[in-house]
Amino acid sequence: MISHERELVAFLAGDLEPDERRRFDAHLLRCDACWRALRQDRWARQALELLRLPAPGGLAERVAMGVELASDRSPRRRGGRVLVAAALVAALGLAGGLGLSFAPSSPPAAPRAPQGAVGTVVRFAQLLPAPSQPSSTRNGSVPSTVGQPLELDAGGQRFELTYYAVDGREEVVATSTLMFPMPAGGVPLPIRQGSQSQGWKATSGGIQMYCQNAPVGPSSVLVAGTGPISALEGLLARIPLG
Amino acid sequence: MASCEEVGVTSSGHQAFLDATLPHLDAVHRVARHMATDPGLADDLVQETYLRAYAAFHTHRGPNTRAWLVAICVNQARSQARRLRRRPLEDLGADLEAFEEPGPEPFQQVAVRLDVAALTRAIAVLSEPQRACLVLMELGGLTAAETAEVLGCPRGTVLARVHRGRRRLAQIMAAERARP
Repeated sequence: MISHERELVAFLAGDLEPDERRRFDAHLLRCDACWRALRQDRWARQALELLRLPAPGGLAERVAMGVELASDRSPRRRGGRVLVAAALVAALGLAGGLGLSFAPSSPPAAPRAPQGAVGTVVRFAQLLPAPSQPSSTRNGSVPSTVGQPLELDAGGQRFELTYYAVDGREEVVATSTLMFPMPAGGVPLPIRQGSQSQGWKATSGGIQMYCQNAPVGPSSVLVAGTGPISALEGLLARIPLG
Repeated sequence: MASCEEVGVTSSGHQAFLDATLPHLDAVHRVARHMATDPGLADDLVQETYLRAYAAFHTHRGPNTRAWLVAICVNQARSQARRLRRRPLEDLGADLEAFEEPGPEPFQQVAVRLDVAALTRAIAVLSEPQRACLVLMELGGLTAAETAEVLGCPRGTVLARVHRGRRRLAQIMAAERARP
C-alpha cells in the first residue's frame, strides 16, 4: 500500500476540499508511487468501459416468462413454485448457451390456450429456435438431447420435459405418469390394435402436439414443436423412453 | 425508470414488477456475469434474482430499484459460492506489495488492444471484496454510497477497495502483455 493511499482515494473520489486538492496536486508532481497508482486507476476505469455490455438477446423475454409463470402459482405455494419456475426457466439458458437464438415461432397462445401441463409444454415449445435447415433435408439422423431435463409440476401434474434436436430442428418431449389431457380443438388418434395407448393430436399457439397416453404404465408422452405432426410422430418413434 | 412507489404498486402484479425492474436488466446481468461462481451461469443467476425480487416486490419501498436488484443478485451469488464451499478471500492490503515495483504499464504501449476475455479473467482473480465493490460500481452503475449499503461496509472502504481493484487489474493486464 502506498503511503498516501487514503488521500489518493479521496482525491479520485472528489472528496478533498479545494486546498487539500491543491496540496495533493503538488504532491503528485513529486511522488512517483502516487502518480503510478493514479495512472493505473484511470487506465482500469477506462478499460472497464469495455465490459459495460448489454444483457444477451432474449434474456428479457426469459425473465418475463419466468415471472409470469411464477405469478400463475397460488400464493400458498408461491415460495416453492418461484424456485421451480427459476429452475425450469433457467434450464432454457442451457439451450441459449449453445448459441441458439430464441424467438417465438408464433404469436402467444390464443384466448382458449390449453392450461396445466399441456399449456406449459406449449409455452416452452414456443421458445424453440427456428430450424437450421429445411425439413425436406431430413436424413434420419439420431435425435440428441439438448441441455438437462426439467422436472416440472403444472396444474397438479408432474412431468419431465426434455429438448431433442434432430435434423436441424428442436422439439420438446414431455413424459408423465399421468395422461396429458387433450386440449380444446384436439383430435383423438385411432386406437391401434393390441395397444392400450390413447393418443391425440392438436395445435395451439403455432405449436403442433402429438400425444400418446398410457392409461397403465410408466409414461405418457407428449411431443411438441413447430414441425408437422408426422415429424413429431417420427421423433417419438426414434427416441429412447424409459 | 419508475420505482415501485412511482407506479403505485402495493400488489405484486407481475407486469408492474417487470415495468419497474426490466430497465435494470443490463446492469443486473453485468453484475451477475462477474459475481457468479461460473460466468456461464450468469443468465441463470439473473433469472433467480428476478424471481426472488418478484417474490419480495411487495416489501420493496425504497426509491432505488437498481440497487435493490443488485443486492439480491450479490446475495444469490454469494449463496452459490457458499454452497460450492468457496470462501470469499480476505481483502489483504499486502496483495499489492508484489506489484509495487515499476513494470510495464499498459497505457504506455503505442497500440493498446484490450481483450474483453482477458479483462474478465483478471476481474475473476481479484479478491471477492474488491471484485464485489468494483463490479457494483463500475459495471452495476451504483454509487459508492449505494455499494456500501448493499455490501454492508463503510463508503470509504468501498472506495479503497475499488481503487485497489483497479490498480490490481492494471497490473494483471500489464503483466499479461509483458509475457513473451
